[in-house]
Amino acid sequence: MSVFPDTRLSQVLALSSDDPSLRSRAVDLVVAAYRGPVIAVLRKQWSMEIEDAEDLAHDFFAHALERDWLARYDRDKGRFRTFLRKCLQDFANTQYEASRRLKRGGHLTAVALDDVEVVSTDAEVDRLFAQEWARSVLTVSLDRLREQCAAEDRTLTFEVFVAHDVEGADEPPRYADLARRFEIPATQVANYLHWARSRFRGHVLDTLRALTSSDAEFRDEARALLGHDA
Amino acid sequence: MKPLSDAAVSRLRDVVDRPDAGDRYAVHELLGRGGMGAVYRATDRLLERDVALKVLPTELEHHGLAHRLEREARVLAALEHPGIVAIHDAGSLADGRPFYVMRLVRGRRLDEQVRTESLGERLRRFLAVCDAVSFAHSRGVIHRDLKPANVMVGEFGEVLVLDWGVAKRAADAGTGAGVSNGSSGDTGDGVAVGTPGFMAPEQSVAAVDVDVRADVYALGAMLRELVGAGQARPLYAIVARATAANANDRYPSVDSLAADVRAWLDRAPVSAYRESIPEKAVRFYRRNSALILLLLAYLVVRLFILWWRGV
Repeated sequence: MSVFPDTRLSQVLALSSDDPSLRSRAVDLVVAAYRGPVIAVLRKQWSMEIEDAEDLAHDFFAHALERDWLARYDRDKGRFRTFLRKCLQDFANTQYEASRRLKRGGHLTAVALDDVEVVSTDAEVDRLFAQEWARSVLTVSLDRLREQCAAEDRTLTFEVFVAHDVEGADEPPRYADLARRFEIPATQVANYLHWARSRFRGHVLDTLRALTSSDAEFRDEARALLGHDA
Repeated sequence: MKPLSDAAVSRLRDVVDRPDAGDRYAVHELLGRGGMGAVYRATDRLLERDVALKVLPTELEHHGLAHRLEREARVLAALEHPGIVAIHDAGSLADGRPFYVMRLVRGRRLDEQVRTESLGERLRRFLAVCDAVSFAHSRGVIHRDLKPANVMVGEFGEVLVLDWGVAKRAADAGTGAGVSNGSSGDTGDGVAVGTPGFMAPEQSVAAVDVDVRADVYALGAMLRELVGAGQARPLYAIVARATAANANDRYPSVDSLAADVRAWLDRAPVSAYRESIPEKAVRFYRRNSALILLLLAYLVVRLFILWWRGV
């Protein structure tokens, strides 16, 4: 069975479901999509080392689940992404204050946010959060494509897609080069890419739908993901 | 999986957004994006020519708007006129989004083109726009989003009215059907469509079923921009009548608006302006200046001859 939830439905709304299994799957997707952006923000805004940021991100999601923060999202008040970003900011501020109190009490180096300073403006951090969120959504969708290819015995299709559209520098390799590398005809490269791109596109849109709670939010997030808000 | 590089993110965004139009069309750069469609330059490999390919934006794909782009294509197909961009092909992309292919207009937007032109040239361009819109009206189509940005002047000087995405056909009357172009920020049926500054007051009320006078209003607003400041009163009277708040006070048709602009160009009286006697005299003089000067010259010569003989 897929490790991913049914992304044709809003997993953001499922966060407040009474069904624990639905809620758990929704949490899995939200964590998969937002772990990267959360770590990036912690590193940028609080100048944290990667290990510390990963630990604190873990604490953040654990805290959010323990306190039922995510289930309190109200779609009438804005995007889920903005809500989560605000939760993170509150959490980090609270941790910072707690670490200062601990330090005054003589407990040194107990909390990762001790001795760090805020080094970036909100706008910069918001931009980074959005950028990393887009990267994360695409990564989750790529994982889903890989899983689909594995299930449908299309591993080579996935490899061709990754070689052309994911790996490498700015210029993708030529079809002829890929044909030689994978020992298939160039027309097959085109066919594989066509199939994989179409499925990947579907996974991205499904993931976006799962991470939003309404048509309007989907539209706004799609524009953000595709860079049309810039 | 390790994080995607910036280059990979950029390419994957492209994979999601860039239309895959099959073997026939190679899609190149984005030319423009509105609420209703994204337009790309593309190459028609079969006919070996560049075209413009319009597709429903990805973010609107799940909003049940596919039929609107198809309807726009049908509207364009029904409007074969030199002032309306020609549609070549229509279909569905590999991902299911509808698209249509039209002539790629190389030129400049009307508002950019006319910056260096004389008033007479600007008004003649305006009349060309009126001609295309009037033709559409004769086919039962109301544009509903006329503005200088939606008019192009092609490389041969031809004037083309673009972006019929929110156009309404007579057959749609009563449904309020149509979508915004993003300027009004909405996409549902029965919603206000158009662009502030060019949108007739009745157009901002979603429930009102607009008629050709909404386009008359937009053309009047466009005329105001083209005319600019410091021009003759009759021109401003034409603008005022075309942009009257009450649709009943406007020109009843684009043809009657165009007739007044043409009359002004010909130095004839315009229906929107009641002239004073001095103004009539000045206009009469300007219109017949050659004849009047000739008569005056004749009279001067006659008087001189009479005087000479008298001496």
